[in-house]
Amino acid sequence: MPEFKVGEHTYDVDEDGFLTNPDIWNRDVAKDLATTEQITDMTDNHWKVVQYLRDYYVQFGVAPMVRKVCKDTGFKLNEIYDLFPSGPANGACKIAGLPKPTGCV
Amino acid sequence: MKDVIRVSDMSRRNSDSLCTLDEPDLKPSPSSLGSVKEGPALTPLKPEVIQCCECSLDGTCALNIARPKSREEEDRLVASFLSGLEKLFTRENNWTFLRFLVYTMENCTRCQSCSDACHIYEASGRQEIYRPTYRTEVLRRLYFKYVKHGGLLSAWQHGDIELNWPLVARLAELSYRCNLCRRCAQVCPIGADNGLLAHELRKIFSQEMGIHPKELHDKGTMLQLKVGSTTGMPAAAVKDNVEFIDEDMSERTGLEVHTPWDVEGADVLLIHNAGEILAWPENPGAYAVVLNAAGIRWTLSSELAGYDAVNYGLWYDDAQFTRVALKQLEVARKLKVKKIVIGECGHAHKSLLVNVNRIADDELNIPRFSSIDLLRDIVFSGKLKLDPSRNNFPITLQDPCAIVRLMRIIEPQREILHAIAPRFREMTPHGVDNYCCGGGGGLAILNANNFGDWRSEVAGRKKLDQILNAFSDSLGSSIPKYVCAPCSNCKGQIRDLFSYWNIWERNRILYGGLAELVVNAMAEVKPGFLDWEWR
Amino acid sequence: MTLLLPIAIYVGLGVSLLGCLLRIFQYARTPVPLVWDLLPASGEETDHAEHRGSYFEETNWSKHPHHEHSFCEISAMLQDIFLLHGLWRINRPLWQWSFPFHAGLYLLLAGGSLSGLGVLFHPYAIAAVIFLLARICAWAGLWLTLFGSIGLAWRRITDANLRPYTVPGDLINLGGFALACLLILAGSLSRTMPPFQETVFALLTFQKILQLPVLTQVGIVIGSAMAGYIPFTQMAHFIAKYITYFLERREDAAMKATIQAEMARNLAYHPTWSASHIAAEGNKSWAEIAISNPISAERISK
Repeated sequence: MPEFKVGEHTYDVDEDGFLTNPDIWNRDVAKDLATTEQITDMTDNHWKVVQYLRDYYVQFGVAPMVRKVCKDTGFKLNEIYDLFPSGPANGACKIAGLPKPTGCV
Repeated sequence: MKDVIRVSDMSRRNSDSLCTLDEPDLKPSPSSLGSVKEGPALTPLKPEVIQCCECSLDGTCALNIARPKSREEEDRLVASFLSGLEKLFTRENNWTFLRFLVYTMENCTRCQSCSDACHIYEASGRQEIYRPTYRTEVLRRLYFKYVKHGGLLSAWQHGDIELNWPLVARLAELSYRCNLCRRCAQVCPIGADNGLLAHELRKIFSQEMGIHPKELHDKGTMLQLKVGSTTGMPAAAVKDNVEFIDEDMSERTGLEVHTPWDVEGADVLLIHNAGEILAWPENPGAYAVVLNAAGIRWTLSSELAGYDAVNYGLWYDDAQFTRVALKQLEVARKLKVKKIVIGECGHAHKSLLVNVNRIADDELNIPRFSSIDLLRDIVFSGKLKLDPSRNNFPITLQDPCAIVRLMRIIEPQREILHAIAPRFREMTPHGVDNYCCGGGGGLAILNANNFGDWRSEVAGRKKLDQILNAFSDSLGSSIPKYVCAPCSNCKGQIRDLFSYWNIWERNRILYGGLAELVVNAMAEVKPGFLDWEWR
Repeated sequence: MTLLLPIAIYVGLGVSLLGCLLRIFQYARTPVPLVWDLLPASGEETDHAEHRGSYFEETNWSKHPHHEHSFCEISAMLQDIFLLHGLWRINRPLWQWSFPFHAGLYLLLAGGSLSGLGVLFHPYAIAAVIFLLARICAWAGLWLTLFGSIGLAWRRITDANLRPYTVPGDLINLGGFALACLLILAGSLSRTMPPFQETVFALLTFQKILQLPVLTQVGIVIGSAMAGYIPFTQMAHFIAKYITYFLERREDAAMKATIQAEMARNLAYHPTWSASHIAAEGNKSWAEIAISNPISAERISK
């Protein structure tokens, strides 16, 4: 099982760097995960997206549609890519502690 | 000049790749794809991956098989493979495909007529290992030596081979370098089916050794059988998402869009690939618009597996295939619908319209057909007022292998496009002679390590070339263009391909489904339904 | 001449026939498989068929009785068998050797059959015509087979695509045909070769009166051995091709009852696959596995 270390924290992650246990997530974990996505400073805009993803995940057990993320957070897709260079699914979902999206998506 | 790779090289004991993929060797050249890339085609594998995983085939790695820690462990794995190989040729274990399997094993004359039919072989610069017959030849020699227990005479008649762990590990990876598009089978003069053999190999690994890509198994069929969909969406989530799609569609079309759920006795149960709902919501949305406008009594189902038509089992595991397919039919039976219609997803078409037929009993054998047929009927019923001028941009059509080559649904989508898309043009070749997008056989969703690079550099190369050629009169970024790909798998692959080669920025080519174009042409819909800025 | 030659011929043909029957039986005995797809119904592959779509293009296809053996399809099949039309379309460099080779074999088969017919009709005048035809077929067949088998062997050795996949068996097979034809032809060019009709008559009716050139005798023995050997090699593809390629892709509806019975038998098999998700455990049938959910099994075992 790959691990990911930042400072004194160690996390179990899958091969793609997603948390193996999404339940241990909190804002500090998110900041640590953000470092793997080349995001050094989590701005309010980052948090808005991350918190939205997290809330949705807690309610439905799955990541929301990208389109819904855009509509509900008010960001356009390219703005989300500006915030999370590897995209909403691989970047933002990872920081929000969601499992990697699966299926034909 | 590279050394020719031989069948015996599969058993080579060192962990160097059998071949390396260098950009200048790949066909067509990067410059004709509008790029100036040089050097190795794939991002190198990470050292830790090379250290812990078996990746000595071709510089990529889809399965991440852990390296055995000792010779004893290697021997156990080889013994397990061998027992799987033997089972593959017994009726108890493999009645499902034994006939075709034995046929191809025993009759292929190795005339290599199929090699040039394979887009992967061609694109790779004719790397020996990607020949449709290479992997088959390995299996054939194993078959005659270990299943038929042939001695010296047999080795002389069929060729010899050494079975060891490096060979098994390489063969596992090699079985996932085929799109199962079956273009090779189509051209075979004696009807041998090398595509089927890649599928049969995958079955040894999955059904006996428990080796499969996690995207197809753990996060594929297993997840589908657990929560209802390979996307991980439980019923509550899918309903929430579709509600959002309805609102979004109502806003964009100016029509009242409502998706009915779990309507008992409906005329049509529509089953989409659930990936559409998450990644390409315009498609299920467009179906809602069209079906409502045509006055069809339709429904979606929120039962387990009833809202996801995919069946990844079709690509690697017979047990998983039958489990998923029977569940989907059972949903329709319980809902007492009159017909099942499969959304725009190639392998779902094939699994539910063809492959499951013989194991479904009379009760489960509910009439089912393609959403493309239904769209064609609606378009020509006169129930929609269509304005083709709204689709006045260059459009080409991707032919999903499962739907077109393997099921022969060829004309309906073309009839539609001729009616609603004045600037429609074909790719060359097209129809049953089409090339796979490069994502077939489940490959589109495999993303371990640098496998995405391999899909875009090798598997999808031919398709990208075809698409660019189809638009040769309007390349560049000033004219928007559309690849109509009525298959989720194709769309996923084309998305990755376009992003890898920067096609949207350079050439303004959008991709999407068929129903979206119909809605875009509907006169009563607000003009400009297609969202060109979205991707 | 001894009786060895007639015996060699009849044994060769007998083994060949038996081998073919065995092979047919072997394929017919394999369980009825799942439908894999509609491809490649060869009839649709020809240039004749303007439209190659299937019944899946109709929304109400399940209500229609479909698929008839059309004239077009049968004609396509014959073209494929006798002219190797499939190979012509996709691999012409190979066709130019493969076609004469196969045509040669067909002609030899025709020559042999006509000879048999000639022997049966020998009291009648028509026999002379039959023997003439037989002679033409045999003669052309020998040359074409010789020409084709040498060409195919040459390609197998020299072509970079074929060489890595060529095993000794391939060359021995082709060499066997070439040698047999060569010897028979060489012998028949000698002055001691008796007339065709007498030769055939003697060979097929176990007469000892004739003296054949040694080369021809050896050639006939090798040729008979090859005939007996074909069904036990990949060269028997014609049998399986017919069964799986033309028959297997037919409509299910017509044989619904048979298929249902076969499927019931298939689903009752107990597989022994070892992967844990299959949960076969040696005591479950395919039917039981198909309706089980590996997820719930997983939970219970944990």
